[in-house]
Amino acid sequence: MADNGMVKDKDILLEVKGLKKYFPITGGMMRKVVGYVKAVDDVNFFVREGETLGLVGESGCGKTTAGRAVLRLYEPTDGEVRFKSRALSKSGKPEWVSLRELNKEQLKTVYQDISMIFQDPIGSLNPRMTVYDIITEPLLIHNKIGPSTEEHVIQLLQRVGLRPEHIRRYPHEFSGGQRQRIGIARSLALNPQLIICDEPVSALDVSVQAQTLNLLNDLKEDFNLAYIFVAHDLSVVQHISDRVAVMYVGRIAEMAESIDLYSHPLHPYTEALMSSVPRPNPRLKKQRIIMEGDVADPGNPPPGCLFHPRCRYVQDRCKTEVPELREIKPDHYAACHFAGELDLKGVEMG
Amino acid sequence: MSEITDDVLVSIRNLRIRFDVRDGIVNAVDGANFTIRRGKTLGVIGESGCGKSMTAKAIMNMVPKPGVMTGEVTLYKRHVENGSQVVEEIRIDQLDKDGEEIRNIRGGVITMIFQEPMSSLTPVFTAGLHIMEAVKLHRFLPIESIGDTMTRNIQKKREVSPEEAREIAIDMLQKVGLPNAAQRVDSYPHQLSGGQRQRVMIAIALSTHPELLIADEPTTALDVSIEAQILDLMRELQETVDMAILFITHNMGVIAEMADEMVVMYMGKEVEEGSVVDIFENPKHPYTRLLLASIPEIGEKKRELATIKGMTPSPFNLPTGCVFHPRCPDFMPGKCDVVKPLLATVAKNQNARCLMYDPCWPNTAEAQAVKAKA
Repeated sequence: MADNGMVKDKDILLEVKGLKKYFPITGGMMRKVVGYVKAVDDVNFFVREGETLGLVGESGCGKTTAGRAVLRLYEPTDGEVRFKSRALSKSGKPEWVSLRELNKEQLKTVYQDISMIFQDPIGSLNPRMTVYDIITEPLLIHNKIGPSTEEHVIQLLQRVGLRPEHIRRYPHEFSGGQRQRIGIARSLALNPQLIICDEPVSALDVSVQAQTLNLLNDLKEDFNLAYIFVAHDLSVVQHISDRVAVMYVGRIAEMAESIDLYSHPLHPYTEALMSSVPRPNPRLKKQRIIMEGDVADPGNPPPGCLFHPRCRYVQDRCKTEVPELREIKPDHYAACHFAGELDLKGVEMG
Repeated sequence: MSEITDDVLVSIRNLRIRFDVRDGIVNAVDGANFTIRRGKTLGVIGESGCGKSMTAKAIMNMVPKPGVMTGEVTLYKRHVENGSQVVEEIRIDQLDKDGEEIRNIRGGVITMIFQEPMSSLTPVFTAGLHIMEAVKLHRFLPIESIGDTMTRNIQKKREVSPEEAREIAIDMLQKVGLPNAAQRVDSYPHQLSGGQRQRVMIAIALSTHPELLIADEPTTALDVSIEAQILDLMRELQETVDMAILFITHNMGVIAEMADEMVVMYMGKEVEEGSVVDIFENPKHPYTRLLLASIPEIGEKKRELATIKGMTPSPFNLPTGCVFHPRCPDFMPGKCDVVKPLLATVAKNQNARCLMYDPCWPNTAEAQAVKAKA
């Protein structure tokens, strides 16, 4: 992606450039490094203020790793992550900081602006802490406990649809959907600007999933939040996202405004992925594009375009040359040599 | 869906599965009635804990302890006797759980594939051995005929030899689209990817020519591209081998693509049943209606998803009357919380368990108003 195309926008909150996260593969008796799993390889994206960016892809495509590498929960191998932080600036006006250059203390301060919601509503809450302890833990870490804390927690609980009397209870007393609400309340405790949601609804039942998605959407408007929404379910991502980035084996294949991406995909992988989604309409007789074989192994990726062994439009060039993520149309990026030239079919928008 | 006709394969009548545990009694399945037809796919949909997997286990007479199963599960097994086809009626619920007869049915007449392809394959067996095991137990070949029609009738069957079993295994792996089947037959499960493991599971399940395949969330653990491969494969195979599929899932999209008829379950009861097209286009029960409205659909931008208020009740403390009434938007006070609704016919081949459609329900203006609203 061309550098100049990105930071023109003054609403940008987070900008990720050339992000890489390689995990070493060790072998032999001396645990020598014999190779790398390129979980995230040269990923570029940005998030605007108050916007939801969906990060979607199949398992092992690096979407979760990318989300975590942004926060330096996994230390990135390379790349730049720039964030407009409120907490770190002394003047009170948001200031650009480069997350990878911060020391531990500064990073901790920035974490007031960025929080996270996890997939597993059981595993992400300490069973020995009450709801009050769970939600105030971020406040405790940042020395923000005061006389009005309890009131603040009650407000948060009510905001996420729980009742004030739940404050003294333990996680096991709640259902999965309620636990996810506790996790959401915790992520809101420090009044962040950006929340990274890692598969927040995939462990929930359909009816509860809808409640949670609606809640996330409402909160976004109320608090002017930006989300990075990591998920594998394409319908959920389409529903919640303003823009969507499709990842394939550690790289972004395509990134665009949500409806544009779904209705007019420019990357063959996106096209095939869209056609694979089972649609809840029994009369729909659709032509499914079956991708042969399995997702490429990120430890031993094919040469050239990573998708070429499964692509039905493959040409000789794809087997040798790695395609760059280019801006094909305004705000529509794709990493395919033939993006824009192929006639790809998207989802018909109802 | 009640009369027993020729095409009925399994009929379930008044099935109840009760668990007597320390905290009380759980009715995991509470009076289910449905029919699986030969060569058709019946989808069962519901949220977690609605009893859909337990129903599948009941069909195999595999309800785990301390579960107690009552009701009727009848299998209409077809076989050839004296040159003509006869249908044998087997009451599965009355068979000895560990007996010879049920063990011939499990894995033979009725087979099953599970959600987790890793944990349902033994890590110490190769893919081929898994299939050969099933084939050896359940598939028999006719003894070489002397060439006389008279003798054909008194033929005995013999077990397949190890060499033949291996051939069948390779053939099955080819059928399910595993590349290099002749080599892959000696692969261990950890050497296969998730999608390939699920293909092996399907190969095991189909190797014995079952009449019914129970698929319990077969694609839930798989990626969409692999899911598409597996669903296509199941449909293709069903066309060639004429078997019925009981497809259990929570994914509306999958059921719309796979099933001919469907059953919607809620808290151990079927709340609606009928053809997939009818239910998706004209859902009658409030639960089905909300369930369909609450899923985000690709290609459709909804501002707000419909939600079902509250959550599924505790199975130890079920609401009185209709179990759905505390969450129902059409709740009629004094009625829904008192009377347990029966399954009533709401349209041709479509039944719903809701008081709005109950024929015994008094024809008051109030009830009519609610009906009209629906």
